[in-house]
Amino acid sequence: MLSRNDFLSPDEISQIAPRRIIELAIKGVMKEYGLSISVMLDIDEDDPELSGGTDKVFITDKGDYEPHCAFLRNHPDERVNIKCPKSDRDHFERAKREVAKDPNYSGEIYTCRGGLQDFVVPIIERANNTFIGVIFGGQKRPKEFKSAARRRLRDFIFKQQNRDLQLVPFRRLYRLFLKVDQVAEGQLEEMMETCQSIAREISDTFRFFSEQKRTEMGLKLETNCVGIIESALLQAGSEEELWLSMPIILGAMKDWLCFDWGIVLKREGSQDGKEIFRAIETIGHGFRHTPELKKELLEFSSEELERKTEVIALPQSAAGNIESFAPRNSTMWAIALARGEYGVSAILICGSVQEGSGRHEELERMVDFKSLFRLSKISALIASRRGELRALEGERKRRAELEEVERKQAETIDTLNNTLLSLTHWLNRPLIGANGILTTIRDKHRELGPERLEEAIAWAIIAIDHTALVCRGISRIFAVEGGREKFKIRREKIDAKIELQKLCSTMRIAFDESDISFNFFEFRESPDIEMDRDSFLYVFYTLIDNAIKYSDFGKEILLGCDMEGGRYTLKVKSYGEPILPVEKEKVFERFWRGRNAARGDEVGLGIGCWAAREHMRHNDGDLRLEVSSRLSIFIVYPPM
Amino acid sequence: MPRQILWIDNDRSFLKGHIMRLKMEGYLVKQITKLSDGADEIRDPNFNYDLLILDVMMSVKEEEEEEFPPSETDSGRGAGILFYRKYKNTLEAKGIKVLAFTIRSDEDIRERFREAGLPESNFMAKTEGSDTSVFLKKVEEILAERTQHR
Repeated sequence: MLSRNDFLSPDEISQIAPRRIIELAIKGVMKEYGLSISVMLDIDEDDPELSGGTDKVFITDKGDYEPHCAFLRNHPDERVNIKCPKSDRDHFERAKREVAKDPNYSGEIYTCRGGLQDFVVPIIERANNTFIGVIFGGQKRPKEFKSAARRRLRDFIFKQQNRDLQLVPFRRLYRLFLKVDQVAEGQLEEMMETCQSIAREISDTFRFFSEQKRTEMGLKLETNCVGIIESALLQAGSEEELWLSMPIILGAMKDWLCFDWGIVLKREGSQDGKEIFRAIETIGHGFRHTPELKKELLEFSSEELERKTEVIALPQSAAGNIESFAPRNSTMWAIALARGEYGVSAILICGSVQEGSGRHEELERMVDFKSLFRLSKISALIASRRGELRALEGERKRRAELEEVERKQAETIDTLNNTLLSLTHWLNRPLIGANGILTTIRDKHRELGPERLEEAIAWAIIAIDHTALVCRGISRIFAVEGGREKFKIRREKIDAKIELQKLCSTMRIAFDESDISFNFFEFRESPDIEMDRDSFLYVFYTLIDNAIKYSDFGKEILLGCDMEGGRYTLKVKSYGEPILPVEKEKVFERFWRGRNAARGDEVGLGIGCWAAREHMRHNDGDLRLEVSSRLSIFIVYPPM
Repeated sequence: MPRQILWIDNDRSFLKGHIMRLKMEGYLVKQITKLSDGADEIRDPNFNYDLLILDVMMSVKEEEEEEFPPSETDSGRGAGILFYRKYKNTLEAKGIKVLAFTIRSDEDIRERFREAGLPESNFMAKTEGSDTSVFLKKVEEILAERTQHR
């Protein structure tokens, strides 16, 4: 009869070969010496990350050893015993909730990761039971290979050294091993050997089982995964970033090469002439309890990594017994035995590419794989690829800059063309008009009476003067701006009201706008102002011209003079399309045309107001705009 | 019977010389400054002009935007082209010739009129036609063509 002493303590478990554990566990199941012990198998999940390890737990009942999700029982007669389909977290969660109701259970329940030690083990330990867990890692096996597994298992258990296993009903053993997916003949045995002497054999990791996967999924997976891996590598801007993308890389590797899990080691530097590696990341399922790697795992030298057979035994600590290494000429994966504070050894196995293995030979032929995953090559790869990317990026930027320059040039040319068109239009119209009159006079002067002749000539002169005034006004400003000429102010006294009346009269004739009236009622004062006459005429010509162009028909243009803050101001008011308050200052921007102006036929330059203000400022005055609904008021501040 | 010309151009001031010249040559000239007024004239069953002189760059008032959307008139810069396209059939049906007379002389505007169906010879830039003798000659050529086809 087995007593508790027949069973190993958690510490002892961690020291022995796994085969012994299996035997004992199986015996325990078979004999059920007052203990309910289930053999817990590591069930591969489609998405182990989601399951968080919780589906690694079996639930068994007395009559049915259907290996589904489970947890251990404290008593043979009772306990929650829920059968959960594999990967059915809901059922498992329900089981855990039921356990939580158990008054005997006072441990914490973790909902993910740690189904073993955080959930199941406390139940066991609390009742002074010993938990014996045996976890087999492995890959998912296609159903069609079950028969092959049976055959292999049969072969295995009938070996001389496995006689004890023959005591176990085959059906149960079969179920135990059912979850171990084997994909090639002989691999079950190999993995079992590893289990049996985990500490020794862990360096000769079993051949991973990607062959089947590879056959199943074909090269497409390989291409996809290599692509993912490459992308992750290339995106890494530095080695630091590379490590951050390790989960992606390793996840892809896992899918492709069917690793179960592993630890990422990072080269941290060198010490005493040796390179030191530190474990920084884990990938895959299998860890029941993963300690903080950076804190609890030690560093390993590259020599240690290269030793295929040496097992690095670490001191017992809160993290338990941890062994890790990366086989030589393999990937940077490591295998770790991780265990938490409950002292139970969970033996977790992963595979790695090992030199000499069939898989490895295949991979040897895959240059990309090798070049990607040699630690020393990664930086070089990144550097060279980054260089290429930088060059490409540089080229792209240059091209983009060139395109931008070309676009701006085209825009500038377009603007200049439009400006030229506008200028031509703007200045040509009166000249065309004048030429029209003059050529008519030339050809028809005999039929025109003297009166009409004089009127026509006067009109032509006005039209030409109109153009000349505008040309002078604008050209002065542009000449100053271009540094070609200093704005020469020729101050003279100007009777503002009289000059404005003359100007309006001339403009009415020139523009033939009979429905616009000029109202001087608001000229309360009639000051003499001193400024450049050309500037004065240009400024008011522009303001009145705008008012005529954009006023509503039948409206007045009001001209006024006022006192504001102790100085005279001259105003030009008109009613027309509203100018928005936000546009008040924009009006004085060069080439800006208001919405109402832009709608008109006048493909104007949009420089009139700007030039007018420049004139005023050159004369030590100013010009601004006030708006209110449809009323626009241009306020001219003559020089003081 | 004197020839009648409808002149759609919102520039009233600088066409003095040309209108004066046409009138002195015996033409009856009616100037319209709004597109919508021009459209009304053309839609009038009693429309009986011999020639339509059509400006291109004309403002489109807000109330005219439904018939002459700014997007189609290029905010007024091509209002005359849209007007021509809209009423081309009506004008042709009535045997009325069109002279596009515009400040614009660029190839783009000429091409657009050609595409709209206006013969090349019925386009004149105002700079070309600033001399009213030259302008008059163009008008007479177009009207002569009309007479031949009647």
